[in-house]
Amino acid sequence: MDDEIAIEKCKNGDREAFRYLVERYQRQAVSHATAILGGREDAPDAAQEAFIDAFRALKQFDNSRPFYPWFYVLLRNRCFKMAARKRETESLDETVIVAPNSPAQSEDIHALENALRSLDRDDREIVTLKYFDGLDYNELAERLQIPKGTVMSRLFHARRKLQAKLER
Amino acid sequence: MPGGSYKRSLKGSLHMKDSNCENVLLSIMAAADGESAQLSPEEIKAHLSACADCREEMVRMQQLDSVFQQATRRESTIDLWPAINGRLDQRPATMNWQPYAVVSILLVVYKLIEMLPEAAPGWAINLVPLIIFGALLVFLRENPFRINSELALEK
Repeated sequence: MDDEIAIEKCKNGDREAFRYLVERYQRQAVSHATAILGGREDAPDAAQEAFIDAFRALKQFDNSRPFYPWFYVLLRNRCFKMAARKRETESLDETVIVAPNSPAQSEDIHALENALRSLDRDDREIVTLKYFDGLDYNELAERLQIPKGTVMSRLFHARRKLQAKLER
Repeated sequence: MPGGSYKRSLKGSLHMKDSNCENVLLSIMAAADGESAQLSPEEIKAHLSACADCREEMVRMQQLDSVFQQATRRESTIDLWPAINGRLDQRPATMNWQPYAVVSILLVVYKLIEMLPEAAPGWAINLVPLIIFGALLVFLRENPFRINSELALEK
C-alpha cells in the first residue's frame, strides 16, 4: 500500500489504512515534535494529537500532495499549543534530539544536544530540519509556512546562535 | 572531530561588521546549501580576499556543518497506534453554540415585540434583517465566531 491509496481508504473511514500511515510516520513525527518542543517528554502526546487531527481533516486533503508535509503543519500546531500550556523543560541526562553516527562522538553530541535545546523553538526547528532532514529552502518555506527569503535569514541567524552556544 | 575540539577551534567572538559582510555570509551559506546565492562566486571571492573576519566566519560555518555530519536525528521507538485507535471514535470537543443562538434570537424577538407599542414601526423593522441573518446562521449550522485553527491548511 502506498500513501495515496491509504489516504483514499482513510477518507472512506478505513482504520487499517490510517494505521498504515501512523506506523509509517510516527517515528518521524515524534522526532520532529521532540525537536520542536526542545526535548520535552510530551512530544509523543503532540504527535498523537496531530495524528487524530489528521484523521479528522483527511477528507479535505488533496491526494496529489505528499502526506507528511501536510501532516507536519498539524504537528507544529499541536506542538505550539503544548508549548504554550507547559513552559518548563525537563532536564534530561540522555540525548533525545540528536544521536551520534558512531559511539566515539558522544561528547560532541551532548554539546550539540544542549546547544540545540537552549536555542529558541523556531531556531531549533529550522536548524534540525535543515541538517537532519536535508530539506532545501523551498521545502523549509513550505514546512514552516514562511517565505523563502525568511527561511534564508532565519537559518543564517539560527546557525550563528548555535555556533555561539557551541563555543561556550 | 575529537570531543571538545569544536569548542577550542571556535574561540573568539562572532562578528558582523556591516551589511556587506552579512550579504557575503548569506551568499556563502546559500551556496554551501546548494541554493542560489545573491552574490556571484567572484564577488564572494573578492570580498573574502579582503575581509579576514568573513574568512573566519566561513570556517566556523564549515565547522558547524562538520559537527552535524557526525550526528543524526534520534528516532523514537514508541508505538502510538493503540492510543490513537482508542480515540478515533471520539468526537472533537467543540462548543455547542446552537442553544445560545436560539436564546439570543428569542430575546431579540421578545424585546422587539415589547417595544412595538412604544416605538414607531419603522424602527422595529430595522431589526428584521438581523433576525433573518441569525436564523440563517442557525439554519446553515454556521458559527460566525468560530476560530478556524486549520486556516493554514486551506491555503
